[in-house]
Amino acid sequence: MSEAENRLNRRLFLHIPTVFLVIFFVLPLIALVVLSFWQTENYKIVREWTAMNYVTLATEPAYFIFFIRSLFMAIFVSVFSVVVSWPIAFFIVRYGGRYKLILSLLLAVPFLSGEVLRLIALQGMLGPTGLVNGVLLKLGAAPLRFIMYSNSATFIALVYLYLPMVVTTVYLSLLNFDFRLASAASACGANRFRIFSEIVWPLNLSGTIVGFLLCFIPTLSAALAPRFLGGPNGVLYGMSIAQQFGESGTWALGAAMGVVLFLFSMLVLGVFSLGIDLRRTGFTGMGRQ
Amino acid sequence: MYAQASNERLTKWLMGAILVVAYAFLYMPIVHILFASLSSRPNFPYPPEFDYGSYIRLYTNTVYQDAFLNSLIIATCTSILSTVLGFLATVGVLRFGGRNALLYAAFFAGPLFVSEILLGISSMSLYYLVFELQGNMVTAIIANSVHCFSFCFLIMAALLYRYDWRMNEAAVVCGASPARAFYEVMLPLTWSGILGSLIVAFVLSLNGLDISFYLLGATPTMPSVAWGALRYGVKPELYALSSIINILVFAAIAVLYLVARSDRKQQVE
Amino acid sequence: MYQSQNGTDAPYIRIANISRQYGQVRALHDLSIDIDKHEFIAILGPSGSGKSTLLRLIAGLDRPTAGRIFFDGADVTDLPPHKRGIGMVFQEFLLFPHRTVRENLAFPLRMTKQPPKMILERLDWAESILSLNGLMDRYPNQLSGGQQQRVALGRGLVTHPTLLLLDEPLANLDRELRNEMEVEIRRYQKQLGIPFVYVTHNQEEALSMSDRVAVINGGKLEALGERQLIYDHPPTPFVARFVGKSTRFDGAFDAASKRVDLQRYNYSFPYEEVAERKGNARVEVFVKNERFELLPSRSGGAGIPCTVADVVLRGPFVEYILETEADERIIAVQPKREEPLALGTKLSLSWNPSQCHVFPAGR
Repeated sequence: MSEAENRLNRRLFLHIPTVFLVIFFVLPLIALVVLSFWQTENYKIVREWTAMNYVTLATEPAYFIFFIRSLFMAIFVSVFSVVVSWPIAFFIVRYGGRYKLILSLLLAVPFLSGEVLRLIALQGMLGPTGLVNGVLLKLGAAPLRFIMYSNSATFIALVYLYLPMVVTTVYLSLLNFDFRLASAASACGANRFRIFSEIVWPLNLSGTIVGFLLCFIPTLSAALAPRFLGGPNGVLYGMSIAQQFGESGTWALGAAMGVVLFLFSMLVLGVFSLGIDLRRTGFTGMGRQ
Repeated sequence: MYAQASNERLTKWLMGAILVVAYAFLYMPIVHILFASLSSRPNFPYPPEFDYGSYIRLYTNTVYQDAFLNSLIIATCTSILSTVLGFLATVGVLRFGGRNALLYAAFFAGPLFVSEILLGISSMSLYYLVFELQGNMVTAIIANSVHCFSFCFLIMAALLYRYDWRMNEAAVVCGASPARAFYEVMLPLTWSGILGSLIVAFVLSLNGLDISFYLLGATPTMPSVAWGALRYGVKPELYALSSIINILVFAAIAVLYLVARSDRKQQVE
Repeated sequence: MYQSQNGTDAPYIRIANISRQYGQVRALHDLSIDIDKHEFIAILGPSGSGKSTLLRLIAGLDRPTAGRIFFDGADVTDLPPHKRGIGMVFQEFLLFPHRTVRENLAFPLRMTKQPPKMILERLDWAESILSLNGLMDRYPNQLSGGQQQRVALGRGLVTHPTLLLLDEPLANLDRELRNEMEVEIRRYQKQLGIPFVYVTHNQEEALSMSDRVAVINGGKLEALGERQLIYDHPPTPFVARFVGKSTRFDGAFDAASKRVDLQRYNYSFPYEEVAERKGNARVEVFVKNERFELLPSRSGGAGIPCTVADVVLRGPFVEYILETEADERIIAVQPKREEPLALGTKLSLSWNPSQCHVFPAGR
């Protein structure tokens, strides 16, 4: 291939998707930043530069509470999901045999059916007239209050929504892990705990972190689950953003909240990606020449 | 030695138990609402007592019909657009990325790490508030494609990563034109990844609420109608709708399974 | 300088002043080779020498930054690979995994739009010449390495191409199969009478199969000539080191006495011509390992005193690992005798001055 042809190919294959993302992904994010420095009055946008929205966010304690609540919720949900994902993924990879493919694809069914439909299904389980309390009532027991319209219900819903994603990520990481390395470590005299802590865990750390982030970032901005399942004390940050863009029509304030959320997500992403030395996790690079 | 073996069996048993509980947790609601939708007593449909009323009401409700049609259009266009773009991106990163391959890959996976609600409100900010455009299907399709693009890119990259690009060269030196080489050699060897990407993008955009919600305004889609109905309490029609979609998703996954299995067979034999 | 005698008519394949640059990196620099119609030419070079780039340029998978390529008098430099009418065999075979052997072999025939009758004829031909009987309906991953290799060769040959390019096709086979295939490949070339261009880093392969060898180093043509000539009279120190197994000594040429003195040993030998250097000049001396003469040390003749440190049996040959007083290890290859020399035997090492190669010490 000549240089000119190669450049044409690069343009075709790399630049078209890049331009697409710049226009429809990066540009909207910039627009969000611009909007966050404007004002909204009576459902209309006032195009005057001001930092009022950020001042409101900093001084109004409610937003800070929403954010901290969301943060803790996201941490609990993500850590729980990762902890549960490991044994599941490990079991599928090691003992799944010829059912490996079925088991891993079955994870995708609840993931792909969408947030709203899954929340409907979950409401059928947890709601006041749902299955769990229905069974308890039949048995003559008192209904469980903590799974109805509470932070616990939100927690269960968020785990339900994002667990498949985390398991899939950890599963893919373990699937590409060469378990002969564990045998090699065993031959070197490592016991089962050492094999895990020195070989299996570090070599799958990057996959695990990706799984964690793919759960953490959407739960941090969760809007639907708390609105539907959370109680009066369950307002989360994402839900508040949705309200600014929805009923209250205070788009500019919502945009400022979105910018804060985005910056925080990027901060978390940056801390994690700087924290990992890719070579120490067995990363060998992308692409083949 | 014996102690270690029994220890290992205990670990295996424990992990298996966690797996069973997790799958039960994931599938119980789905199965429950399937029963509920088929019953005249949706709250506690056990023992089952079959009744198709909710499906008939769903079928005759024009709001759902319009919404479903809109969702179908969005999902079809999104899956094609994001798969084409994802294919370009995959080939670009794997073949022409050079030293910057990792950089491009990180950028292409970027939308995955920006939550859907942020994608929705930022696109809304650009189109409606800065450019003052009206809500329409095109902007919804584009915004959905941004989100699905990353999934398509990752699915195809995972499959094409193992593809030996010199297969195309082998075909070309045999006298095949580049287009013929793609059609005769590359496509048959990578179609499972392309199909997987199409299916996943289709289903994701069919059921996603956040993005379409902010970009469509008054145009109803299937998830937005469901969400609207949800505010006034869960009705059996919603269970029916949900069950239909779940069955569709299940069928899509079954197709993926058959494809992946035939793909693997070819490689093993 | 070592170019073989071409007739008066134009060569069948002409590679004229080819250069290829990747950014700042010069992969090939001003390289010219002419190839005859019935010739088996080996392109020999270490990895990174540019030999694979040359092959890709001939195939059209890459374009030169300067220079032209001619097939049978026609300029093909700007022709894409699928219009060049060539065959190519890859190191990893690159058989199409979703096609049977028959379909793989028919692929180039279909692509070049041969009539069905011709396709059937050629498939029969390939089946018999490559002894693929009974394998035609299998998939590539049901074949052994040697069988895959033969199918790959067949796919390159079925169209009776202008020339066949082979990119280290034996590198993935085990040693025994390799020797077998070397003979096979040479037989096909003689039968078909089309030029084969065979790229390899293995000098044994190059010498065993080819008519001529082109040695490439650092993107430049180091030597081009009959294989025997390249082996017996390497024109440059690089060729002396790379072709055959040799031992290198540092020495000095004394123009007055016309002798070469080795630097680390008390050994000298007469030598006539060291090119264009007057007075005492530092030189490099290369001796092929099988050309050492080993004498018992008490015989008194001039030589490098050494001790047998190890003995390696290699079928009809014996390798003696010799340790010199300067703590260097030298390998001497000798035909196997009834009783190999015992470990610790003291020897005197020398060689026939006309059998070694002396170059002025350069870099």
